[in-house]
Amino acid sequence: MTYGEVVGSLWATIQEKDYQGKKLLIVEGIDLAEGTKTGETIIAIDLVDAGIGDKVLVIYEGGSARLALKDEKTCAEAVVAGVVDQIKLIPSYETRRNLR
Amino acid sequence: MILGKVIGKITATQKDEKLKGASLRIVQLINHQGKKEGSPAAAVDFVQCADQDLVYLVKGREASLPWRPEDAPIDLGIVGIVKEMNKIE
Repeated sequence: MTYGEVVGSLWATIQEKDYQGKKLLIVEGIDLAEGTKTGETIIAIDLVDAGIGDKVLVIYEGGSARLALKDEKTCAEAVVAGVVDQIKLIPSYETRRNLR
Repeated sequence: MILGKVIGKITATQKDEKLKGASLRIVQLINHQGKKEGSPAAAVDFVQCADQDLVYLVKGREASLPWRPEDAPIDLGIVGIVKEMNKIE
């Protein structure tokens, strides 16, 4: 899964039917060890009511996304699967993460 | 899914028979701040977008799911035209 921060949301009226009524979030990837932005932007369907600024876990692979959406035929590849409360790293990584 | 800007169109009469009738668009993939991501790509348009539209796309196997007949060779599909976007900076 990809770790990232919700930096916005997105609306579309003209879209594939699978997206009707789904909330789309803009997530920016964050490096789990360094805590720095990876520059990767992911548009993901929100399944856990994540808000802007939340740190989240994104499933960024079609097969698992379709399982999470409980619909084998939906054309989506990314879903927000969880909101992260806390990250704990082993000491050697923790110091590096805080030094940044 | 990923963001992209529609910058052109491709016409290809000689192509895989399952792609007959597919509208092929040229898309420049971007991040949410508009920075280009890689070089432009060809995508099948599922939502009748226009040039210059800001769209979002799906990659991989899922891009072929909206297309009929099934199991067409598509790995990038335009699935929505962005109407509005709000982002924190």
